[in-house]
Amino acid sequence: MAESSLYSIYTSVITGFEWLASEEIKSKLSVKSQRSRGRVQFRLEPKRIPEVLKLRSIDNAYVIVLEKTLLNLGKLPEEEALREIQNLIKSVDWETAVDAWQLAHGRKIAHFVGLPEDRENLPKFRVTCFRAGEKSCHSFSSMDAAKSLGAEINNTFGWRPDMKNYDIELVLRINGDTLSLMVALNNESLFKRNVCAYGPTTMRSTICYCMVALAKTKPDDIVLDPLCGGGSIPLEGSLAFPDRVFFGGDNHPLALERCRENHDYNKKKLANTSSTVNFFQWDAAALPLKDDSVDAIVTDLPFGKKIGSKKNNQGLYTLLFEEWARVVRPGGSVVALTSDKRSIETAMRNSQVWKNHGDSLGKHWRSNYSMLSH
Amino acid sequence: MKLLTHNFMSSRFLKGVNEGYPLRLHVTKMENRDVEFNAEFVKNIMSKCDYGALRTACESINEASKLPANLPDDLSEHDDILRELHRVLFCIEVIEGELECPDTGRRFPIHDSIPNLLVEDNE
Repeated sequence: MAESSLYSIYTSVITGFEWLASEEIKSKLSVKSQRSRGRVQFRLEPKRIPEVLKLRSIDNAYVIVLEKTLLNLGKLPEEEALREIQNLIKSVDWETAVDAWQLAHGRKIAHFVGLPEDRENLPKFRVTCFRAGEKSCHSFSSMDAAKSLGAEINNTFGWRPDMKNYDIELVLRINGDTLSLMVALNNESLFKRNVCAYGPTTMRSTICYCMVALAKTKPDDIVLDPLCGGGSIPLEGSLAFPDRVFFGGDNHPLALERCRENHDYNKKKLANTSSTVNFFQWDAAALPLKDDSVDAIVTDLPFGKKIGSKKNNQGLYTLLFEEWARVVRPGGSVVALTSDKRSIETAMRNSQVWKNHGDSLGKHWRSNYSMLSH
Repeated sequence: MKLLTHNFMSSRFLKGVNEGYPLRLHVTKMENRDVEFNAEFVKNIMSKCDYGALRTACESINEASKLPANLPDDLSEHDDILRELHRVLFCIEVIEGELECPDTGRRFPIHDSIPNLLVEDNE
């Protein structure tokens, strides 16, 4: 396929996990990608758009329909700058915008150049503007830029602006003098896919995916989340990774209620996977499991902010890591998310069987431990 | 709770219990679920399971009649046994019942498929 007929795909991803998204894109779509902070971009044949929405490490996906540099945008007075932004509409590849949207949503929209008589069936849309970098360099606000472009689209195509119940979302990104316009391929963020019952510290499904991927589990592995809350890690794990057994447990009765609700919410999808998931009510430091029975633990530890306290964490983490050393088989691993690095280090020193393979990733401090012989 | 799950459970976390395996199973309500058969997965998972404990659990709920006393070495050649293992490991779902520690007799409830293993601090 000619390079020019490929779509430019832009995906937003969790900061720190760009490399993992890049790996997933390479293994599932067989394409190379470019990454920068919080995003991964690649080119793809139009008909493969639905495959993009099946990726599990990306939060949102877009097709870029305009990239343009407006020299001195920062120096123009407000009115002139906004007029320049309105004029962008002439340079946008609208055919791609509409086609990409239709491929992603699996339905047609009425789109005409010029205003049709019957304006009732025209799509509803919204424009969102994000500015990266130094914002004070512009004489206009992000909201005014979005409004100006939106008004022009409404005048030209008759699409109806609607901030809430829109069909089409357009995202205008401005970085200094560089502008790009993108059409959103998903309306609801992809990270909300598995959860209907939210708890105080529910994680995005995309983070859950990335953490389970970090554990490098294999088919037939037993994977455990001893502090599973509403069950988002074991649920995402069993939906994303086939032929594995996931156990999740929590001590709080409300957490187990959410596990049940979220499990039921995913019933259909779970019936189509070969992995299985089971929940328990238990104490994460007194697990009802055999010695050496688990291949990997993937969990979101209490940070000591919303849940627990940093003072308690030192003792708690030590108890947890001792118990986990018992149930995880030699050579198994733990992927744990926490911001309380000091408590992790204390627990590691105390337990002596864990070895750190971790590094620092964005604002989340990731620890990936693999066990030494014990 | 599946019998696969039960196979990995022990009450060793209780004070004074060293083995705590296998937990005795008391079932008041169970269901049979439709789960797609995957011979390779069953065979590989069995290598991590304790067959004696699985058979004992099946006996306690009258589901062991088609299970052999011992597993053959060439398990992959026995499609009928693999299918039966698949049925007991993955399809049977214990909805209500109890788990019992074999050493102390301490009982733990299973409610709405979820076993509750929480104990008091002094246990």
